[in-house]
Amino acid sequence: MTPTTDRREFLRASALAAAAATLHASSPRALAESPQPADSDVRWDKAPCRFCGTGCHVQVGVRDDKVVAIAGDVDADVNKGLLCVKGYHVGLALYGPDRLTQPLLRRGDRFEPISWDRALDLIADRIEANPARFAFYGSGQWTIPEGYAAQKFMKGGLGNNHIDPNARLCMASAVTGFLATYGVDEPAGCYQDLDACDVLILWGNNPAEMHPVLFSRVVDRRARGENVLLIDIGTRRTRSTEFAQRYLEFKPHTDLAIANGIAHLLLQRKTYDAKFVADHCAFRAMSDPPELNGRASTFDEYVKSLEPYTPEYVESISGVAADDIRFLADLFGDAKLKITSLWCMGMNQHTAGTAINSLVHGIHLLSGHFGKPGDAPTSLTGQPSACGTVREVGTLSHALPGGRLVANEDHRKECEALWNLPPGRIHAKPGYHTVLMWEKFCTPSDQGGDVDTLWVQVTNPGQTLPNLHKLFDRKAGLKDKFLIVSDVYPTATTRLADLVLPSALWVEKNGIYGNSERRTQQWFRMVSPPGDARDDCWQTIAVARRLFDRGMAGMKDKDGGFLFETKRDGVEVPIHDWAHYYDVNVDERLFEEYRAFTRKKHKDLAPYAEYVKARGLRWPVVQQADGSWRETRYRFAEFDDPYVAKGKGIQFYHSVSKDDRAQIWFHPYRDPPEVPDAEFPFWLCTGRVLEHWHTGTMTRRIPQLARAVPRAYVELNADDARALGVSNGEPVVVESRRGRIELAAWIDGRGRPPRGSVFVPFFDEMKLVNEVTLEAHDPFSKQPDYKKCAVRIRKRSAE
Amino acid sequence: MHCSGLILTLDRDPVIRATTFECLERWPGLTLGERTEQRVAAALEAEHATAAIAAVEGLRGCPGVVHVDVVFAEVSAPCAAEDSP
Repeated sequence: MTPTTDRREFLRASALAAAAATLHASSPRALAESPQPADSDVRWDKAPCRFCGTGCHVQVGVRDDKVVAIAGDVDADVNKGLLCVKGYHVGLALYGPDRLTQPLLRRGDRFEPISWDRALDLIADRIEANPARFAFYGSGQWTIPEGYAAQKFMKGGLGNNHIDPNARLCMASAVTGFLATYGVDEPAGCYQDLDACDVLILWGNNPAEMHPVLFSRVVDRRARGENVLLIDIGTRRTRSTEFAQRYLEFKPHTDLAIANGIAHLLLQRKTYDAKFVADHCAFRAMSDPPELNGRASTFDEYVKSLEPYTPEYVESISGVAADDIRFLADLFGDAKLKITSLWCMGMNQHTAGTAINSLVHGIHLLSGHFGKPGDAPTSLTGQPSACGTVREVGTLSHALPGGRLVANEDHRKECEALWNLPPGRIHAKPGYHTVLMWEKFCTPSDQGGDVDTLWVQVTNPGQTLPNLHKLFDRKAGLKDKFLIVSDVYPTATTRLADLVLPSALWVEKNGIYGNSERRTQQWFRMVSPPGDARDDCWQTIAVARRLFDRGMAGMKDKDGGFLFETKRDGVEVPIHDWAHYYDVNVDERLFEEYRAFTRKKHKDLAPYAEYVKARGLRWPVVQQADGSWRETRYRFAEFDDPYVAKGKGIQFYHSVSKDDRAQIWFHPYRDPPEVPDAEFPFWLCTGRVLEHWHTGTMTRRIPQLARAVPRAYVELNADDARALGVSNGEPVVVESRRGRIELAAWIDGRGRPPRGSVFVPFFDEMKLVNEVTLEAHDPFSKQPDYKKCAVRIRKRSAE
Repeated sequence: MHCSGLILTLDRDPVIRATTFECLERWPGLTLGERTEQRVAAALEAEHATAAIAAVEGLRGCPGVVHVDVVFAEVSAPCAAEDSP
C-alpha cells in the first residue's frame, strides 16, 4: 500500500469508528481507544467546542503541532458524539490565512509592528495616566480564568468597575429574569429536560439553527416514535418551524401579552397548581420608582391585574388567535404533561426583556410545571462561556464573583478579604454597562466622555454594538481616545484600533468554559499559537505586572504582594514573563482561587483536577462522604439538589422574599420604543444563521462555511417583494432613522418573515446591519433590542 | 480527498428503510458501517470539503433519510480552489 492509500484508509477507518462509537454512545468505548491504523501519530484530547453556548465536546486530533481532525466526543453527555456543521469544522478556525501574529500600533492609516514590551508599556502608560478613565470590554468567550483575571485586575486592582462583557448584548435579560424570580441566576433544569418533556415550547427561538445539537435530541426522539409536541411561538418561520406541529406567529414585542393571556386563563379556569403556588410562590409587581425586585404583591392583586388579558384581548394585541391562547393554557393546565420552555435572544434582546423572562418563569410556577425532569423554563446562551465567565465570575459592571454585587458592602468586604486587599479597595458604584461605556468612549472628553482608553478582548463590538454610527464609528474622529483590541483576526473593531494585540485561540491555550446548563468544562493547550500570539489572560497579567513594577498601589495586595503572585514549591514563578507563563498551570492557579467565591450562592465548583477527568460538571458540585464530587442536574428540587432541606420538596433558597419562595410577577404589555410607521413601514429583526457564528470572525475564515453562506441578505416576504417589485437576489436598501445598508433580497428562503417584517443576519463584516439597529435597552438588564426597529425597504435601482 | 463520519437516521418504516439502503449503497464515496434498527454509521469520502457538504445535503434529501449528523471531519485536507476566502 502507498502511504497515501494508507492514510486514506486510516481516515476512513477513523470516520467509521467515530460514527460507530456515536451510534453506540451508551457504550464505554471512546474514540481515543478505537483501533488506530498505521497513521497513529495523531494525538487526541478533549475540548468543548469553541462556538455556541451548548457546550458540545469535541475530540481534537493533533499531529505535528497542528489540529488535523475533529470528532464528536461520545463520552460527552451534552452531545453524545454529535456535532453541528460549525462544530465539525471548528479546527479550521485556527488556520485562516490572516491570523494576527504580532502586536500592531497605528501610525496614521497604517499599522506598524511593535514588540510586546512596547505594547505593554503603552497600555500601562495609558492606565497609569488616568486609571479611572480606563475601561475593559470583555466577552462570554473569555475563558473563566481570563475573565477572572480581568475582573480582579479592574475591581480588585484599579478600584474601577468599568468592566463589562459582550454578553450584556445577549443574555443580560435572562440574568435579571432569574434574579427577579428566584433571587439567584441561571437555569434550574438542564439539557435532560429535552429528553423528558412531552411539550417543547420555543419562545422566539430557533434552535434548529442556533443550537442544532440540542434540537437534534428532540428530533431524534420523534424519529424513534416518541410523542413530543413542538410549538414554535415566533415572529417569522424558521427551520425550527419546519419541525413544529404548531406555529403561533405573534406581532413583535407582544409576547408579554401572550404570557399574560396564558396566566389569565389558568386563573380563570382554576387550572393553575394551587398547592405549588401556596407552598412555593409569592407575588411581585413593579415598584415606583422601578427596581429590579419591585415590591411585594398579593394573589388577589395578581388576579386583578390579569383580568384584562382575555384571549380575545391578547389576540387583538398579538395577532395570535384566541383559540391558540386557549390551547397553550390547556397545555399548562394539564398537570400530567411535562413542559419545557426554551428561549434565547428573542426574549433577551427585548426592551422588556426582564419582564418577559419573569412572565415565562411565572407561567411555569403558576402551573407547577417546575422542578421535575422535563418541566422547566430554560434559557439558552449564545456564547461558550456567557454563563461560566460572565454570570458566574461576574464580569459585569455591577457584579463581583460568585453572584455578588459591587453595590453591596458585605459583598465587597468578602471579596476584599478573599483577594487579601485593603478595606475599601473595591469601588461601591457600579461601572458603565456596555451601551453607556461605548457612548462615553465615543463622546469627546470635554463633553462628558470620561472613558479615554478602552481595551477589548475576545469580541468584536465594531460589528455587534447597536446603532454603530453612534456607539462605535464616532471614535474615528477623537484624537484623545485610545482603543486596544486583542483578537485573533482583523475585524470590524480593529479597523478603529490604535493598538492590536495578537491572541491565542481555543486549543492554543489552556481553558475553562461554563455552558448553558451550569456545566464547567476544562481543556488543555494542544498546539502552539502562531507567531507572537499570546493568551489573553497573560496579556492582562503582564499589564498588571508592569503597573506593579511602576509602584501602582492597586496592583498590590495588603501585604504588598503582586495581585497575581504565583508560587511553585514556595518559589515565585514569573508568570508575567511569557517565557515562564506555562511553567505552571495558570488556569489551575486562578481557578482554585476563584472557587472560594462560588459557595455563597451555592454555585460550588469542584477542584480543577475533577474537571480534567470529566466532560464537564454541573454546579453546585458537592463533595460526598466518600470524597467523590457530585454534580447537580436539577436545582431547588430535593431529589437532586443537596442544598434543599430534607422534606421541603422544592426550596428556593435564595428567595427575594427571604421565605424560600419564587416570585410570580405581573408585568403589563406596553408598546415598544419604535414601531413601523408611514415613513419606516417594516419591522427589522436581526440574528444568526446555522453556518456562521456571531460576527463570523472565525466561521468566515472556514472556507466550507464561508462558501455555504458567503454574504448577508435580507429575508423578504413574497407578497412584500411583489409589492416592492423586488425579485430574488436583487439588491435592496434597508434603511432606518440611524443608517442604511444594501443587501440582496432572499424571498421564500430559509426564514420566512410575515408581511411587514424583514430579517437580516449580522455575521457579515461587509454588511453591518447594526448601522441600522436601535440602542434602546431594557431598563434593568441594559440589554439592547436587536429584534425590532422600524425600517424602509427600497429597490436599489429605484434610488 | 476529504473524509467525514456520518450517522444517518432512517425512517421507522422497514419497507421504506429497505429502499433507502439500496440508495445509500450506491451513493458515491459512501461506506456503510455498523447499524442499529434506525441508524447507520457511515464514512463519506469526497473530492474536497465543499463537495462533502453538498453530499451531506444530498443525503438529507434521500428518501427515507430523516436526519444526518456529521460526527467526524478531517480538517487537514486541502480545500478546493473555489473555497479560498
